[in-house]
Order: sequence, then structure tokens, then C-alpha cells
Amino acid sequence: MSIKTRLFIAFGVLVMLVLSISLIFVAYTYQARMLLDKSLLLSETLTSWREISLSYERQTRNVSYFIILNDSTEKDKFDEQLEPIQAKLKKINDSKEKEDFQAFYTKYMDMCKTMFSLSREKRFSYYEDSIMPLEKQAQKDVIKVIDDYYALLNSYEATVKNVSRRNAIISISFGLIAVLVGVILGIVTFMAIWVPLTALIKGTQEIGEGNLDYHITVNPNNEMGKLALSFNKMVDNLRKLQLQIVQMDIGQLAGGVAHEINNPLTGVLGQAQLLMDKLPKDDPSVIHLQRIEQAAQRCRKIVRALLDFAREKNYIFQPTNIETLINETLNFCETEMRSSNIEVSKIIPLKLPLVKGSPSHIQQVFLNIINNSIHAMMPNGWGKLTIEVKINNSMMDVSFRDTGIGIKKENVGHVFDPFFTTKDIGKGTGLGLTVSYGIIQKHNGKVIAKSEGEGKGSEFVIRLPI
Amino acid sequence: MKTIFIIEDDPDVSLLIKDVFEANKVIATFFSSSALALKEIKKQRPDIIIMDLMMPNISGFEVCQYIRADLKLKDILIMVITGYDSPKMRKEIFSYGIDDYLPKPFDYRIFMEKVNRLLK
Repeated sequence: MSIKTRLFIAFGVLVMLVLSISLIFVAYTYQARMLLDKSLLLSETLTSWREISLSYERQTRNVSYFIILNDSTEKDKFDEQLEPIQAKLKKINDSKEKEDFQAFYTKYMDMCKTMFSLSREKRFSYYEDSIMPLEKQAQKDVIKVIDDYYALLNSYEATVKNVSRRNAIISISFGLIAVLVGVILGIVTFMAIWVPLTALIKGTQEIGEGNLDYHITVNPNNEMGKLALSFNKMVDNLRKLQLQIVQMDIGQLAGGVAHEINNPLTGVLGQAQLLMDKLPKDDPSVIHLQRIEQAAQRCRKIVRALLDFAREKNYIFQPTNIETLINETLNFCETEMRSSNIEVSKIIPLKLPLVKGSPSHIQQVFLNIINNSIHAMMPNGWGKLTIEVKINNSMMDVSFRDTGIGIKKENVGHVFDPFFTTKDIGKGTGLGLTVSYGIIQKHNGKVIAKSEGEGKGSEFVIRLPI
Repeated sequence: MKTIFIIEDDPDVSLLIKDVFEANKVIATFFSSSALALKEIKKQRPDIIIMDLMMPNISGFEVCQYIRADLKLKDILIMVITGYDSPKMRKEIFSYGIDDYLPKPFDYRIFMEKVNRLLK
């Protein structure tokens, strides 16, 4: 999965979580408010009913006192209660109880008015027959309404408590889930970036130190992989460019140097030889002349290597049998190998496919590598060179493994650099592997140098497309 | 007695050839400039010319072309000695119709072998 997708998903999930938590909180707040409004309304209604009940009770008492005492002030007191009761009733929302009570109360008021207008004797009987049963029933009804509201209010309070507890639990759980999801997403995203980033940092350090053969390996499915691929490509191009620059500059330089040096060198070499031939064999000066001749020969070799390196030889690509080339190259080096006590073992599969290449150039590469191996094994007085050919997909790997002195870790990245040599002065020009590298690149192949370290042998793998 | 012209602008090389010839009792005329040599070539028509390739003004290639194009001179034996040695160069110089070729720096014994072959 690409890092962009990962980041998008992580960010999206977090936004969704935050949004859902906010929504839950909004919903909870709304719910709590609704519950509170309702319980307020309930308690208001309850209060109204209680006040109605009280006023009504007072009225019934007034009625009783009026009948018993015949005191007209009681009648006034009775009338005083009418308005508050009606006002309270108005406040209460419409309901069946309200309707019933209103119906009853209108009737009750009418009956009371009738009673008030009656003579004192008749009042009692009228009250006892008509008003009292109704009055008692109404009182009971109102008390029941009040009780019902009480119960309702209590149950509401219980609901509010339950809801707030539930809300708290859900909020905490969601919060914990959000933290957990955040942590997991963070770790996943961090790993997706950090792991390839470390590989990239290590790679850039290696390459920065000049190891242009280092390849950064990163899971190639995401942006980091693409970055690593581009980086590797850049390094490949850099190496190609380096080689081109070296070949270009040295090509021009070598031409001039060859001409300028070869002329005086002809004099040095020729005059020394001439003098040597003139002197008697046992003349003490002969040894010095031999040394002059040797030094001149070395100069000649260096100039020749420079010219070989600089010269763009004609490449003729044709189906090439690698096994034949290996055998031919080994024949060239047979004497040297025998004298250095080097054993060769070949692991070559039967029916090796042909490679499209320039045989003389590939042979030059093999010769350079085998020569290097021989030189690396010489100091030990013995050695083993294993040449192994493997087919991987559409590539052929030709590996040369020796038991020689190996390559120092810090030098592995520099073995293909021009003029890099660890051989004794006069033994190597430092151009063999640079030339080999250029040749294999012309074949769209690769040369890989490996060594476990000094004294642990080395391996060169030539990878050629089939 | 065959006449030999040496055209070489480098004093080290011409000195060596002089010394080698002296030791081997070969007589030759030395030129340090190709222009001067060409004048004498037309006048004296030597049998053998041994010359460098890279020379100022008139190069060995041009000297070669001139000689091979001239009916009177075209049979002169030419041997080239050069500091630029490459298969491409050899191919090119042999296409001018030279008789022998020796890259510098050379072993004077090989050089003498080649001269003796031309002298026969």
C-alpha cells in the first residue's frame, strides 16, 4: 500500500473517529437537555397540581365552614381561590386529567353557587347529597394525579441517571478506542515510513562514501520504493557518467601522453639496449642498464594500458558461448596458475544458453578478473578459484570466487574506480576492473564485487542478459 | 647501396636510429622536418623511407599519399614508426600502402631486423 493511501486512511479514520465522538457528545447533550426540559415541565405541572389541590382543599374547607358557621367571609375566601385555580389550570398542558378536572370544577362551581343561593336549612342537605360525593371523588382524583406525576418525575430522574451513566461509559470507551486506533495507525504509518527511510539513509551514506555499487533495497510498492528505485537509477547513471568522463578525458590525455612519452622512451630503451650490447657481458654497468631497460619497459606497459583503456574498441555482438570463453581464458593463465599452485573448479550447467555479446571483450573481462584472482592468491602460495555459472530468470551470472587475500571492506566500493589498485607498483595499472566494468555495461550487464573482508577471499559476479 | 631517408622530428628517436645505424654500419640521411624531406625525396628518390606519423605541418600520412601518387616515387619502400598504436591506426596506415610498421617505443633489434628486411 502506498504511503499516501496509508496517510489518507489514517487521517480519514482519525477524522471519522473525532467526528463520531463529537456527534455522540452533541446527541448526548441534546438528549440530556430534552430530559431536563421534560423533568422541569413535569415538576412545574406537579407544582401547579399541588397548588390547585391546596386551593381546592381550602375551597372545600370554606364550603364546610360556610355551611356550619354561615359566615359570609368564608364565601369570599372561597371565591378568592377561584382565580388562582383557573390560572394554574391554564398553565398546565392539555391532558385528560386537566379536562376531567375542568369539567368537574365547572360543575362544582355551579353547584357551589347554587348552594350559596339556597336557604341555610336547605344548604346542608344539598351539600350532602350533591356536592360532597363529588368533592371527595375530585380530591381523590387530584391526589392520584399528583401521585402519578410524582412517580413519573421519579422515573425520569432514574432515566436521566441511567442515561448519563451510559453516556459516560460510551464516551470513555470511544475515547479509549480512538486512542488505541490512533496509536495503531501511528505505529503502522511510522513503520511504513521509518523502515524504508532507514534503508534510504544507510544507502545514501554508503553511496555518499563513494560506494557507487551499493543498491538500496526497499519494498518497491510504495513511494519509498519508487524513491529507492530512482536513487539506484541515479547512482547507476552516475557510475556510467563517471566512466564516460574518465574515458573521455583519459582518451584525449592518453593520445597526447602516448606520443609525447613514447618518443623519449624509444630513446631511453634503445640507447640502454645499444649500450648493453656494446659492453662485455660481465661489465658491472650492465646490471644498471638492465634496470634502465626494465624501467622503460614498465613505462611502455603503462602507456599501452592507458591507450587500451581510452580506446573505444569495436564491439561486435554475436551469440557467444560463455563456457568456451571461460575455458579459453583459463588456458591463457594455465602456466601462471600452475606455478602459483592454484586449483580451478568449474560449476557450469549443461546446455548453457548463448549470450549476445562481444566475445573478445567478455574474454578481456574474464582475463582481468582471473588475473586479479591469481595475484590475490599468490601470497598464500596456493589457492582455489571456483567459477560458477547460474541462470536466473533472463540473466546469466558468472561468478569467480577465490581464496585470496580478499578486499578490505572500505575498498569494496572502489575496486571499479579508475587507477584504483592495491597491487605492487608496476604490477597493475588500476584500469583492469574499470575497463571490465565499462565492457559489461556495454552489454547491459552488471559486475558485482563481494568480499567478506581482508584475508577472506573475494567474489566477482558478472551478470549478463541472455 | 640502397639509400635510406629517416624523417623524424623527435631528437631522441632520430639520435637512437643514428646510433643503431652507426653500430650496424647502415648509412642514412636524417630529416627533422617532413617539408624539407619531401624536397629531397623528389630530388634524390631514396629507396627506403623510415618516418614518424605525427609531425607538424606535413604529417606522415600526407608524405605517404604524395609518394604513392607520384609515378616516379611510388615504389619507394616506406616504414612507419609511431607513438600512436592502435588496430584502427594500423588499418588506416596500411591502407595508404606502407610496407612496414613499428610502434614506439621499440626494441632496436626488432627495428634492425625490419630495416634489414627492407634493405634486401
